[in-house]
Amino acid sequence: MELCSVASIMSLGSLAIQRTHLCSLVFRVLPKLLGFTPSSLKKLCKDVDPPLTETIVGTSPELAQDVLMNIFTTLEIPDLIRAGAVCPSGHSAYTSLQRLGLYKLSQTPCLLYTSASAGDSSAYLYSLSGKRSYKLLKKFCQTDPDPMELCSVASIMSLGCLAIQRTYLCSLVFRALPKLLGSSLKKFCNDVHPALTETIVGTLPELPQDVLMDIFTTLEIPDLIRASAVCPSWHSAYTSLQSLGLYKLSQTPCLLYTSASAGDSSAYLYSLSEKRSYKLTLPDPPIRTRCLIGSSHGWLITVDERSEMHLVNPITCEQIALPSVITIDQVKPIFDEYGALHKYELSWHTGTRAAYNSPSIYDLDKLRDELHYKAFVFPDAFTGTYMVVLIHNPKQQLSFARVGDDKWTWLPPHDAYEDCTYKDGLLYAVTGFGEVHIFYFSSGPAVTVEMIMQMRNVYGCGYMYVVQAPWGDLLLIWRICEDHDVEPEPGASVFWNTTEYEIYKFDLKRSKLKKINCLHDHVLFLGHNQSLCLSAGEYPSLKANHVYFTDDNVLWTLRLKNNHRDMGILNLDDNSKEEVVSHQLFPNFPAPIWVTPDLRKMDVASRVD
Amino acid sequence: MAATTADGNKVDEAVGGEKSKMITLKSSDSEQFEMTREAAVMSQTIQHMIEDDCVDSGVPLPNVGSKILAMVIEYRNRHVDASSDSAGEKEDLKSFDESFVKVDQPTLFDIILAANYLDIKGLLDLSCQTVADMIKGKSVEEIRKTFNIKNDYTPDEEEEIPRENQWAFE
Repeated sequence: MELCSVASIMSLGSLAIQRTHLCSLVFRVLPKLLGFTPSSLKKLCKDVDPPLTETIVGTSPELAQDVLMNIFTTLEIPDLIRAGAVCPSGHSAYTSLQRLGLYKLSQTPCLLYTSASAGDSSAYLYSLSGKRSYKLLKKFCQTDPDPMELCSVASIMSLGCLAIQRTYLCSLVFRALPKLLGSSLKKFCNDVHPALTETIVGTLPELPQDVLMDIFTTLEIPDLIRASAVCPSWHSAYTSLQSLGLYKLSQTPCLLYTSASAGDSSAYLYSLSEKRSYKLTLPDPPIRTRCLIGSSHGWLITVDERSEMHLVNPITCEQIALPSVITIDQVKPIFDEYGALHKYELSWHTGTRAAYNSPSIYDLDKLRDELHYKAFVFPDAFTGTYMVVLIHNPKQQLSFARVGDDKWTWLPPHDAYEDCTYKDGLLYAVTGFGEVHIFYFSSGPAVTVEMIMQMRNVYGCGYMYVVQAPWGDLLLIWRICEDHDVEPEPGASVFWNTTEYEIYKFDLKRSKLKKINCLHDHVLFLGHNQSLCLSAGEYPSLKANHVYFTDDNVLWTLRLKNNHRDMGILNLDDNSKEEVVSHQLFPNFPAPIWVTPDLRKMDVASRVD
Repeated sequence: MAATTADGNKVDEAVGGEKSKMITLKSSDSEQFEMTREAAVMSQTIQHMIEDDCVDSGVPLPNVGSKILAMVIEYRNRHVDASSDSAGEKEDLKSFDESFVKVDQPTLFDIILAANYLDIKGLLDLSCQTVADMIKGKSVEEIRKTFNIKNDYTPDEEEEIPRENQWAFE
């Protein structure tokens, strides 16, 4: 009755001042009425004094638009929607309200849930004020976003907060709901109460960047790369990680090999952790036209068809040219009548003796068969760049160069070097006679060398390796093969078989050498790569106390066809061997090499053209 | 030590009853949890608050809900108790850790966020490693599915991404 008297008295303009009070009366009463559907509302009004019926709904005087709007601003959304459907002026008030963003800002939060029985595109909204559920229909316009997005938005906060910010999200809701009402009202007010125990749809809380970076630091590179492509925030964590150099530094070594059928610029990376291969494309000159003479810290050291050396990172495809081979002490260029380089002359002198032969002449691509033996890359503690150490003939001498240098620096007087390793400014090199030499580098050109140890070489055939163990000792390792013909006839089929490894540890501080039989929880990677001693705990896919080895025979560089692959995983407990890969993935030649993937990019002035 | 300060009481506390003193933690939904100071300082965040002397009326943790806080406390109590070096203890602790992270994903992520906020290295490492293990070996789509992550790249952006490291997506 109160309602009716209000409606019959007022015309808006004149009662503007008192609007608030009167409207608040209406506010209190109307929501109760609007809990009914419009048809029952009309019925209710008819039950009241007939003359008054006319004044309320449908006939004059109508409530003016802004009064209606005021009334509507206190309504919860479902009520509001129903009110907007009562009659045209109600609807018009509703649309004005919506457009001006004046609907009730403090909407009571609803509970959003889904039910398997309702289908994948449906959701329910349970209203705490109305104590009932609404089923949100899936029929949205094509321009509307995925309905599930709509729902997950709604579940996060009360619709009122959205309204205040007039965000896209809010307009989503308000665009969509009236469309629902475009269909029949009854359908909208479908009264269903599915069990509230159904899972609430939503997305997982987003992880902050530093946590994502923590997660990513434990990933191997292929996993890391895939993770970076999942979504923009994961990608951003990946790029931060890369620029800070924080990704997992202890990447499990992979086996790199090439195959004639894959083309000259392709190489394969076999991952020991995933037990699968990845195909990589490497920059020119084509990788299969080059000799691989080393692999350290993610770099391959290659010699191309002009006997020139490069560093190439197979993962990042970065390539760095090293100083020209003609700057090596024993090498001289020979120019043709046009002034173009067309052959090399190799002199046979070493640090300790003059040449025993006159110099030999080689074609540009043949010098590498004779000169280059093995090479290593080390991060230089002094200059912050990389240092390359080359063991070359005659007699396996040492020369070195820093990235950016214009020439190689010869390191006489010793020779017969087999392997070297570098730590904290010191280069440790071992010779085939069991000597260990230390080279002291500084930031300048001066290098001094000192022999610190000589052990008796009792092994007739085999190769020697040196590596620094994680616990600080130097490990000296002899690779022992079955007897084989060291000077085979051309075309002979040769094979050599590694049967065991003899390992010694050398305590640098106390100068004590001791043979050890067991590596405990460490792993060795030996071959033509830089020797590695890894702690098995950091590498779950590797077997402790095993040696992972590949072909590393001087005859290998002469490209003799080897019918038999001298590579595998040797168990130091019993010297049993197993295959690295259970089935033959690659041809016998060229021999595969261990490489440790590295994502770091260098900013170096000297790059290959 | 007989150092006297204006706050004589506080000095006594610091010297005498550190280990046995109980700390009250308050979750974001206002539930209270008691734990020993010794266990509480596993969290760097709480330790700093204790040092700054803000904990008299309990430590408020507005970012951690009661369900997760209860789990975090369980983790810390277990790890604080296990101080011996025996192999058996280590095995037990390892299996505790393994079952601890066998939870649904929203809970796992909540644990990560709580461990990050409370600065508990061991728990953060454990939970992050669990997520990392769930990433390993999966293709990009599989990762998205596992973590229910929406692919909100624009088509142009999406084209850019794999070009750098094409080989890993084969």
